[in-house]
Amino acid sequence: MAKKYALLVDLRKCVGCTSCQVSCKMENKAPLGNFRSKVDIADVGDFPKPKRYYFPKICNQCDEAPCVLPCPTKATYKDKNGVVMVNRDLCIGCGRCVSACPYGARYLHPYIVVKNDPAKYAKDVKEVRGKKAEDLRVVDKCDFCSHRLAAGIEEPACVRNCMGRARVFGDLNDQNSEISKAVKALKPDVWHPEYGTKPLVFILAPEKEVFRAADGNINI
Amino acid sequence: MEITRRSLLKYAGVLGGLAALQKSGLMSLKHLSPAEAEAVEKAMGQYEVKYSADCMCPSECGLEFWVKDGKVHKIYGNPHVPFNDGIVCAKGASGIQLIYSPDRLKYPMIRTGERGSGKFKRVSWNEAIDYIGKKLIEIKKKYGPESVIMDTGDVTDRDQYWRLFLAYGTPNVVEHGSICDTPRRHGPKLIVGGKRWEPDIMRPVYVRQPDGSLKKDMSYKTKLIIYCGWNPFVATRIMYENRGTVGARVENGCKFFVIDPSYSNTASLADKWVAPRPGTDNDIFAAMLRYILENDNQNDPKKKYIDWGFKKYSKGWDDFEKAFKSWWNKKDPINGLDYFSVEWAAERAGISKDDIIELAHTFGITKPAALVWGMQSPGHHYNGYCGSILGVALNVITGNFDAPGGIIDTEIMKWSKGGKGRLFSWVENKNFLDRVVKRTIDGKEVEGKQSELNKDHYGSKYPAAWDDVVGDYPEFFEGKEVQIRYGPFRGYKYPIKAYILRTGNSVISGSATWKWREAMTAKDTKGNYKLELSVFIDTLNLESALYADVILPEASYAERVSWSDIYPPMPLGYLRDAVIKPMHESKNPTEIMNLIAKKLYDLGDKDIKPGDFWERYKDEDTFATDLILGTPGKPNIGTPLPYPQYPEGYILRGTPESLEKGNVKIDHQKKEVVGEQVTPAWLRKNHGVAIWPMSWYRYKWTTKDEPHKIWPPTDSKLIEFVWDYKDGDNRKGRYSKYNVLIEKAGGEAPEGIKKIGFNKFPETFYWFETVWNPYTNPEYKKYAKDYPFQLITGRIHHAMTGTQMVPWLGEIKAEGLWQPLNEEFEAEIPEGMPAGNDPMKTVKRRFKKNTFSVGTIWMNSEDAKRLGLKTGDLVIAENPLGKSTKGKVFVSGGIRPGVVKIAFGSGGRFSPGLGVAYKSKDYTPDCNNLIDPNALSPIMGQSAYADMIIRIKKA
Repeated sequence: MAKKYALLVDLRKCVGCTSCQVSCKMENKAPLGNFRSKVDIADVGDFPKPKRYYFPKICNQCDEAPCVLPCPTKATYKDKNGVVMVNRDLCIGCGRCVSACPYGARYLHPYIVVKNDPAKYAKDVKEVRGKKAEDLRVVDKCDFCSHRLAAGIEEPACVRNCMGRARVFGDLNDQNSEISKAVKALKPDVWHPEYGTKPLVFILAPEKEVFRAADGNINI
Repeated sequence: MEITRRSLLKYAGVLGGLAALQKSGLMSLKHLSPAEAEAVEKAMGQYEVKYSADCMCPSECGLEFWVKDGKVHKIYGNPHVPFNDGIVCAKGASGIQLIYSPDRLKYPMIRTGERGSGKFKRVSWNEAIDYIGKKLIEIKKKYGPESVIMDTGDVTDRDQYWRLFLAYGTPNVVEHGSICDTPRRHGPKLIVGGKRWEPDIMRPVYVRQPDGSLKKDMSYKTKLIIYCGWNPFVATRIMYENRGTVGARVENGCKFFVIDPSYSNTASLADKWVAPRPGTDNDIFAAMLRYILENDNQNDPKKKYIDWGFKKYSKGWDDFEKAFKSWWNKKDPINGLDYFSVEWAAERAGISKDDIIELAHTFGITKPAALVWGMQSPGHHYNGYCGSILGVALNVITGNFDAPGGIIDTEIMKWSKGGKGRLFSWVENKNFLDRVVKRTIDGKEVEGKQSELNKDHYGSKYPAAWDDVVGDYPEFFEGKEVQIRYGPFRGYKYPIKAYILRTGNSVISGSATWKWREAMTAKDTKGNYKLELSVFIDTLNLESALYADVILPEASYAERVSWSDIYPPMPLGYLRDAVIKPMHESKNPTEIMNLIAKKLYDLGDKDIKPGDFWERYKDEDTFATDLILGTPGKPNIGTPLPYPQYPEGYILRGTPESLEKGNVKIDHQKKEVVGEQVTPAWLRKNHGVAIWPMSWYRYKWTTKDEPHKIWPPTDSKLIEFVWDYKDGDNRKGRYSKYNVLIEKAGGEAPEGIKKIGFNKFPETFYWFETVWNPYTNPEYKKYAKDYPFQLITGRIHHAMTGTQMVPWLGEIKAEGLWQPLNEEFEAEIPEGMPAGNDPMKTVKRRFKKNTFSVGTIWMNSEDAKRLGLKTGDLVIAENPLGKSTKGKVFVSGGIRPGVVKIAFGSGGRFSPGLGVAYKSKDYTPDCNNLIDPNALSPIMGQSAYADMIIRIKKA
């Protein structure tokens, strides 16, 4: 049976160290200013009762991913294990998927040049009309470290290095996996469930205020 | 390409849900394209995994490097190392940007302009070593080798430099401890011969089972931790305190409280946050102890705080208690209340009585518990010793010392490291410091040991400074002479003429930055620098490099072989390995040591013997092995007994493998069990780590509740609450030898303790006040009105002043101290490359305003409102000495009113080698510029980084 990869972030154990964010940079080399993984930190409240919230975010690998349909070249797709992928050979850098993601999980990568000839799509995709491939950039996003998954390492870098041991990753199709048991037992939330995107990234939030206070997009 | 919520709705309408998606064919089962998949698998297979140890901060976690074609591509934690159990923090993960930084030192340089001007010329290694060698020979002839200071700065794998300069003949070799947190360590050293008290939350530990097997134990037993002045979630010094604290809470219902004037990350998850006035941790601990002593009731389970069983394993408690209680009826001159009463502490600390009672009662009644005190506080306070002593006392009398889930002294069960490799001459067959040397004092020739010329241990000011004193170097660079007043060389004086600094940045953080800049450039009447030689050895191009005459590029932490320096609860050691070759023209410490040694030898220095350097140390591994001869060197003690097959109490030596298998020789005379020597080669075959079994209650026999007097390492081998006592004809206790020195000097009291009215070192409990605190020390009351803010400091996700050139660490926020408030700037930075052979490429990037983190001044929102300030406003912070620094404020409710916090090294970085941090130097604060360079704590001479008051005004 195919897998259904998912991630749980346990905010009882998140210490706001941002290792997930930087480990992702180390692993996947997103350029400065762009993120596949980002920690939002919010300081609210007055002395003597302030609060600080930590909200680590990555692409939610939505079951109903709004970024998939707008792609004019079928570069964006949800793979057999549930990971929302980008085929860099097909992407023409139009940016429609970037706009479509309500979480800001995507960005155009300044160092990865488009390979696919945009001229083929110029008629329907005004964003690339009159542009050459070398002028356009491929979209990038968290893919659960698919290169590690492909090598049999079922552990994205952010999970591997998490200082508080707050992240659980695995296969939801396996009832005995740690993540399946955790999701069942802890009943975690997801980010903006009302979008209907059905995220596969779960957040165990003892204080729901974190969703409001630290709500920023991953990429601005 | 704006991302809006509306975009979602636009597409969602078209989407029609999951069904529509599936129909579109886009939910295909296609994986990567075949070409991509093949490329991925090929790439993954080409990595070589190498184990090593981090250096991005003193935590020195075990790392797993992935190397391809001689380049580091990935960094993870080493999962075999219990200290960090496979995890790594943001700093560790970002190490690639330091290794491949365009700003790192690449080749030797010699200064061509004035010190501080940054004018250098590139030279060959030969030329640089020649310069250094000739100067050292000249200085030795003119002033004696003791006039040379070898300061091995902040990074701990410094043994080659100690060895070299001890052989050269100076006793003045120091390491980072001098400017770290000596008051914090003081209590543990006095009382148990130790250093760092940490909660028993390092998991896994390996525990001997009744059937003889070793079990990997992941269970947390702790029920309460109180962190005072300590922020493990950000200042990750003891890495297991992160996952351990939240793990103990989630899995074992452990509570934790935080005492900190600022709302640190650790405070943000705590069950209780108490925000006292800075400099009052001693007061809180004293009140806790008084409360416990006054309210303990052995017959009431709700008040049975004290476990009197500790007395059997200790000495002098009655004297200590008596001295402590002698203060109870004295009235504090500022508030008129009885010392150490709850009311007194509440008034001084500016917190409620209820808070203090809750701290005391909860700590007393919850078992097992750990009271942990920190580097910033009391470690950076002038009077931090008092708090450190009280903290130890509190943990001991409540029965938590070395109890499962309690508190562990993580120094005294460390594997032994250093020893002969660092200190011993193989040729002379003695420690270098034991060499007999002669000096002429008032026309008479006097003989003594090389050690007895030490600037501090026999000097006029801080003879008890067992970690040496760095904070007072400026006055010696400016021409003051070292005065030896104790020991056989009493009356001898000498100047300081050379300063060799390795992996440290004392110009910024030795004490006050402005003072060091003045001192390093002080000239005599002829226009020559008083400090005749200044050398800087490092990978990083820090501010201190600007003041060097010669710069030597050292191999980075990924390019050399050494040992990590860590604080685990039982013997544990792991290798730092050269996972790639030294980059550019850098050389590893063994090679640098040999080059300088050979040069000195060739120039005629008779104190340098080839058999102590290049003839013996032909490679790094040999030197590394010399440092751990006979390791772990710790006794087979505690419950459960680590090796039941060997006699209890015998010293264990050798690899865990050989000890486990019984490949040992037992020496009943020496009481040793000797297995196979641990070597780098053995470690490389064992995931880079050596782990020995954990045990508890190590102060008593396993077979009976009696002290075995093998451990802890004090004079009596008991927990000592008295520090100068008679044992027959002998004087014993940690302070006794200094008092003997004083007596032999006719009662001449050291200048340091004279400042607090002591004529000798105390026999037991003592108390004195801190400096620059208008609320606890009457001397400073007059400043309260004009300087209404107490300044405190601490760490962010950087290693003090050493890593701020790493761009990935500028993309994160830390509390109120490191926030995206930059002005627009352009910089050449190492950028990660997603494909290709080079993990990093240097590119020019433009950073838009308010997108990149810079050091900020953290201020309370009510205070800010009153001053008309908001986040991002530029202010000037000024102290009563007329020194100031500039920075932007970050305003929040997360810091006590009347307190301002600035992180070490976060601003005012004036070396171009700091890359991105250099760009913000004009609007970011240097907290070190504000401290008082004369406020050196009286016993250890440590700079009082946390004692200062300031005023703030808009810039």
